[in-house]
Amino acid sequence: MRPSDDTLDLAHLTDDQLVEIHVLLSDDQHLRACPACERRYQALVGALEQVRDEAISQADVVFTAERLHDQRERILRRLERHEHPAEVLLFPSRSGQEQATRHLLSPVRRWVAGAAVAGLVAGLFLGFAVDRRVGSLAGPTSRTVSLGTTAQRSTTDVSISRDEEMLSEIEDALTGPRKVLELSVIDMMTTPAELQDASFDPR
Amino acid sequence: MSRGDQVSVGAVSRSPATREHVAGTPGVRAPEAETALAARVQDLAASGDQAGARDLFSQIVARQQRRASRIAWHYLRDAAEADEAVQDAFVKAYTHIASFQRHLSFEVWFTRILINGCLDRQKARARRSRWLLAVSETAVRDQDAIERASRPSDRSPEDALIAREWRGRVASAVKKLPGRQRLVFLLCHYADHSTREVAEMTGLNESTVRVHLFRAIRKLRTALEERSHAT
Repeated sequence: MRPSDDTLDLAHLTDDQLVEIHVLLSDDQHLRACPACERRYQALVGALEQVRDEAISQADVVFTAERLHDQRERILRRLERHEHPAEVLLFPSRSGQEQATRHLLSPVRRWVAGAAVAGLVAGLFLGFAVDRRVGSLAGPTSRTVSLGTTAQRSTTDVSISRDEEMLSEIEDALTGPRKVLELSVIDMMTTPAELQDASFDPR
Repeated sequence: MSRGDQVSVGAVSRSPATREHVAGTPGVRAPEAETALAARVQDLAASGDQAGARDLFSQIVARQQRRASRIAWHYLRDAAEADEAVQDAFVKAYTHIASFQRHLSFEVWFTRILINGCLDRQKARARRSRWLLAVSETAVRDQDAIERASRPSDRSPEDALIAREWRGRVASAVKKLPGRQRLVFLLCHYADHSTREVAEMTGLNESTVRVHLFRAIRKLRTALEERSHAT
């Protein structure tokens, strides 16, 4: 195609117009006719292609064939796992607790626990009943118990008077003449006759 | 060849011609074949033949994983995370194969799943980065590997340095693009999808996709011009 003089006379395309032509993939008459604009356009397209080639080569350096192979293997393993999902286990302590609870709630254990409770209740009841019966039979005892305080008071008084007696005896013994009847007989037997008349007066 | 023909080749080189070029790499760009495979997987899964469905799906994985890994890596810039995002996307696609609509392209459907996964991961990363400032070790390792690999012996040290600087500038310029512009640019230029396909993947109007692409290229022009002047 031969460029017409009219198209060449027009002003050159701006950078934005060149980008627009590239993005829209449009066919521009001026671009076809103007060698300068076409050069600029080719430079733009070439630079973009270089950017793309660089980007692809960079990515291929990172994602080597081996890495892609590993990636594929991992994907297939994950797909396989998806078809056979792993069994979800209960949290150990919780399952253990549940087992223990179930063990405690077994029928035999329940019967044993029930019998123990019934025995305890019966024992308490019988205990109270026996206690009441014994209480009713021993009526005077309770009176004795009620009078017990007076008796106790009198006993206390007796013991106090005995104490006083004892204290007065001690006092007499200490202050009074020292005469011990049990010893006076021995004293008489052992003391010579001439000395029995003489009295000893320390004063 | 006339000028008009040259222009049209240049303009179209991004779509059919480039697709042929990319399709030369293993397992890339044969959307109709994958859609047919996905339909068969759907049938097998519906009939209860899970093993057969899985075997057939592994063929789709083999054909799509490189392209998916490229997209995820360019989006996340972390090989380990991109790897996980690709795995998750394939597993999700397989488990939801019953909801795949046969009149649509499997590649478009799958890429949509992948992009959503990448977006979720990016959001999670943004949340994490509020609390943690550590740079990912794998990202640093990947960058080292790229630097080592992109050092051909026939290049002079000056050329290698210029190329490295330019790569860094383009990468940072792409990184600085707003989210949708970056996504559209990645899908159109790195994954080599048409604006119509990108519109289907992202749920945007085709005209909106074109506007995003136009703005993205305009913003990247400074970095691109530096390269064109250098070469």
